[in-house]
Amino acid sequence: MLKIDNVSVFYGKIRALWDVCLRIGENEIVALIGANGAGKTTLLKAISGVIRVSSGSIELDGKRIDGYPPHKIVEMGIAHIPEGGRLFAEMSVKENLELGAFPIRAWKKKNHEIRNVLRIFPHLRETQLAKTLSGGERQMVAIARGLMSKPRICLFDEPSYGLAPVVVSEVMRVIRSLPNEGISVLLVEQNVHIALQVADRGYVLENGRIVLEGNSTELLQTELIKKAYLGM
Amino acid sequence: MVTFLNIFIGGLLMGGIYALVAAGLSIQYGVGRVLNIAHGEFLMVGALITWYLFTIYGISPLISLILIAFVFFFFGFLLDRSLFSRLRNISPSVAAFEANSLMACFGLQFVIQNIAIVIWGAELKGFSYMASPVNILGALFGANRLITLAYSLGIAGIFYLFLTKTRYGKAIRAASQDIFAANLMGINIKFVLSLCFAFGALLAGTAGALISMMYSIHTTMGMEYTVIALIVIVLGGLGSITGSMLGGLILGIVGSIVSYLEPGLTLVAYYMLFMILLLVRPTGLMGRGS
Ligand SMILES: Nc1ncnc2c1ncn2[C@@H]1O[C@H](COP(=O)(O)OP(=O)(O)O)[C@@H](O)[C@H]1O
Ligand SMILES: [Mg+2]
Repeated sequence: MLKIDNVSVFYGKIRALWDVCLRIGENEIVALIGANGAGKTTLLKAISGVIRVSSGSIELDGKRIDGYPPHKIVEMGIAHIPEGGRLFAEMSVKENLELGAFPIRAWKKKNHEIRNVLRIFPHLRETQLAKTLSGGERQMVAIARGLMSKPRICLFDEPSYGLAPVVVSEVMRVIRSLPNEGISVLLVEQNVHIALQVADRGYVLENGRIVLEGNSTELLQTELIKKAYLGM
Repeated sequence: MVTFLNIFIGGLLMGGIYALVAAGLSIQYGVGRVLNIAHGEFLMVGALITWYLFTIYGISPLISLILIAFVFFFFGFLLDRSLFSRLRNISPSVAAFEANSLMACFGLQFVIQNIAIVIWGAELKGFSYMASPVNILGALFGANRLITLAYSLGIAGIFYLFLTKTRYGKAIRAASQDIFAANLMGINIKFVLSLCFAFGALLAGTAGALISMMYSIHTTMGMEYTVIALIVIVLGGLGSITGSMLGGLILGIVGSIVSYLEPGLTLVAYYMLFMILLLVRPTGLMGRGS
């Protein structure tokens, strides 16, 4: 459903992505792995319209979406859950969730939807101020907030980063359940092991270029992954 | 008791107006990063238009106020679209935009003030509207002052409810906390920033209309209010719009007490309060620690 073809992105004169091609199918979890600085976040920002692609195309269900501003992309059904969660620190959990439903269609159903997402994360307290949450709770609110717009594709930027192992498995359990709700996932991770456990397929990004792609099980067998990412 | 009432109501009166002026600057700077040095000029124009409409056409200031609210909102929106949003596009960074927009506001201040002087001259102006005294528990207040008080607190209250209860109010507060995240929520940032500048202009203009009902006004009055608004937004915590409203009220009450004791020291007291707060709590009353 999401088709990325030959996408290149520049920061000024510096090229961050080189002709990146990537596909996400219906109800599929796709991992994007790569070292720090490889360009993973840049690709997510290009999809969600935060930065412009200088060449190539991004299509959602056959319709070009590159060039649209971020708020249009959200309305088209793509949610981007940024690195570190980026909650609105001075607002309560409830207000953060409400803002996730900002697109007018979602806004009308926001109270109903808040009850839904709180069922996924029963430990969250609506009235708690975001800045007082623990790191794990922050990530969970960020995910819940991303789901509030009823997206068809969720882009996750390193959701496991800096979290304790128990919390990571909780987060991954939720991500794995999304395809059952009709949501496809692009999961950006540095933690290759975790990413390929959850994902159906994966891509490896190095210095702005896709250098490898395949099924998760296949990828785990490749020399490149074993050597460079799993330290075997 | 009578003196106490006088000081207290006088303080609320000034404080209510400061709250409006400061909330206006706070929303322009805290969200839009436009340090609007010309903020006081918007207030001055609001005051002089009210005076003009009253003395020439006999239009009630309370009607002018509503007119001014709409016109200033519209004009503020256009100004952001034409000037600041272009500066945002050509500025390579937020810091560069802050510098560029500050320069633009200096220019704006100069242009607005001088056009106003050409139109209205530089002498003091004033008018008397509903000045008949009202007795509250033995203390006498001009009816216009009580109406002004009710209006400024009313406008501040409505604005507060807008910010905390409505879809776009929440979007403005979200954008003031994290523009990138707000953008990812599907908030149209360009529109929200224009909205912020528009509300800032609206608040300055209506504050000017209210001020003209109580005090004498003139075309060079703007700077004083810009400075007070700057003090208040630091007092309230940079970026916290509700903090600036609270800061405005507090500064008004402090000013009222000091001017009862020694009128000449009011501005001195403001600066003192400002400096003490910077030393004791640099992030302001409701500011976020960094
Ligand atoms: N705003 C920016 N300006 C200039 N260069 C940037 C900017 N953001 C990222 N980069 C550069 O682009 C490359 C890719 O960064 P990023 O997409 O954040 O990598 P990753 O998310 O994989 O760690 C890096 O070399 C980084 O330094
Ligand atoms: Mg990154």
